[in-house]
Amino acid sequence: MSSNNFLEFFKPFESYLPEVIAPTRAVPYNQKLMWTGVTLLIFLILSQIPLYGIVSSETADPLYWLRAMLASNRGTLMELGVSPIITSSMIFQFLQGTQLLTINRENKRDRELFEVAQKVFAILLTLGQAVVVVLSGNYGRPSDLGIAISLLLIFQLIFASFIVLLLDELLTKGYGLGSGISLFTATNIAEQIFWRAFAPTTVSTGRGTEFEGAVIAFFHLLFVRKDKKRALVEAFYRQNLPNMFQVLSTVAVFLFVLYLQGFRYEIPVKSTRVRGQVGSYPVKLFYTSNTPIMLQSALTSNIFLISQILYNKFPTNPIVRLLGVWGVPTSGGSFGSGKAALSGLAYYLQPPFSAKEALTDPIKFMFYVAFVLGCCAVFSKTWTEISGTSAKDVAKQFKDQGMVISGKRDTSVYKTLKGIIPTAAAFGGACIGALSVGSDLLGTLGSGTSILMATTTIYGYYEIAAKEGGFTKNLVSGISELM
Amino acid sequence: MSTAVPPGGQRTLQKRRQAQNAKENKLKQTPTSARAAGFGGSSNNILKIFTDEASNGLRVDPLAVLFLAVGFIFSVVALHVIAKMTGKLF
Repeated sequence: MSSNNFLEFFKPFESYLPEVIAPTRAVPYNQKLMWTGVTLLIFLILSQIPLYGIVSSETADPLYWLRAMLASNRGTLMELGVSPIITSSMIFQFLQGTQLLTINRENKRDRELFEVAQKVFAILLTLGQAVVVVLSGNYGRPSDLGIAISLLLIFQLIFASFIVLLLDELLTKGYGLGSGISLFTATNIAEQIFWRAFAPTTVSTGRGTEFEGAVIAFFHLLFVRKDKKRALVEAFYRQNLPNMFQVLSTVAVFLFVLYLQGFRYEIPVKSTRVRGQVGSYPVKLFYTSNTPIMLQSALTSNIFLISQILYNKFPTNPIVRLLGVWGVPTSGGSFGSGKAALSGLAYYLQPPFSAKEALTDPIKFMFYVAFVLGCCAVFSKTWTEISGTSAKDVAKQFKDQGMVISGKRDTSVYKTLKGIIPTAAAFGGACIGALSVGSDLLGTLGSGTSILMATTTIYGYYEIAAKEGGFTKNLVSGISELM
Repeated sequence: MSTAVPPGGQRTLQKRRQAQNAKENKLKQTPTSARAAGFGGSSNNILKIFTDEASNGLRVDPLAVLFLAVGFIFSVVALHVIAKMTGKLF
């Protein structure tokens, strides 16, 4: 019996939900790598196959800001991406964090029902989102499509999301190295970055055709142009398409984030149960990893979305105009959607397109920096409380495991942790925010947020792989010395 | 100190007799129900029932997930191809 009435409600669904069988014994590292690779391949193929039955997808993309985070591709089977799964797990984590939903972690029945409830919710959300996406005329008006094609579209979207749900479960159950969701997101971002660097597509500008990919264009210009010096300048500074400078800054940000990942404060601990067992409890600088930046970008994305919808509906309403005025910017580049906020609150929350824009409107820039840094710090601190990694929780964990900080009394564990963890969380959050702002200013390929998300996820995977024993000891220590 | 039992003798004979009896009994026994007679293809139904009891949901093998995904991808591609073909032909 579960200790919660709300969870009991999901009991009847339990027998109908498919569930990947957990491996009965530990899966060897090579097999884990293989499962991860195959799953990733399937996800990538899913995100490249266009939906059957689309008439047009010419309308402005309403979810442009959310695409990178949700690993979704427009007009493909991955239209919904991982959004239903993320949303449902977020909701449940929130319910649990705010104690609206109390579950007993020791109770097996509770844990099972909690997972079932999450899954049922994710499937319901998929259903709702698929219907909304099709009926809102994303792929042409439903009356033009016909009822059969509309149903077919909905079915395709639901089934694709269902497969992603199963693939994620497969990875998290122990066949893969880590969580599927973060892996898919990181892959999507990495794919975009690589596409911008190596795209073989050409764009015809007034002066002839140019390659879209920065590296390819660099070599093309060097070989084709007579004046090599000007070709170099062109390849490094072209404004309309990805350039080499952006590639270099992306690499620089990537390396810098990796360098910062190694920062940690090691608290020396010893066991009270087994004498002589000493170790250290590391508190990383990026204590909450990429969660604060994800939450921050989710928040701003939603503000942009609401503001855009409201502006399209009521372009003259003063309150709506205060929230944001949207249009095509006169100077500087814009993101792929073509539209950007021109004034209002949304304009101040919008990352600067270039360093030039930051200089021309310093007040906006200062506001933006303050907002991002503050937001990330607060979110990071709050997240430690919600996710059960706050000083109090860690102190309790220490006590349960019979660990004390060496050289201190066992009563002072909480006091010591209280001095370190909230500071690390808040400062780490602010650092992540600063990195995001910095990479936006440098003009990396892809937004700063997405690069940070990809890098932290990849590093997390690397850590897991190193722990699993995928690399030789030498390599790990070599890299950590290098860091 | 343990004494090794010499090979052969009373005990081995007994064992042989028992095995023989069991074999004969098995041959003589007729199926008592349609199920036991292998009605549903194979007769190891008990094992199936046990695995069913152990799980309280629809349990999927990870390989099945992969096949499901690949099948879905192929069916969508097939839909595209069919749409192209019919457009060409008619």
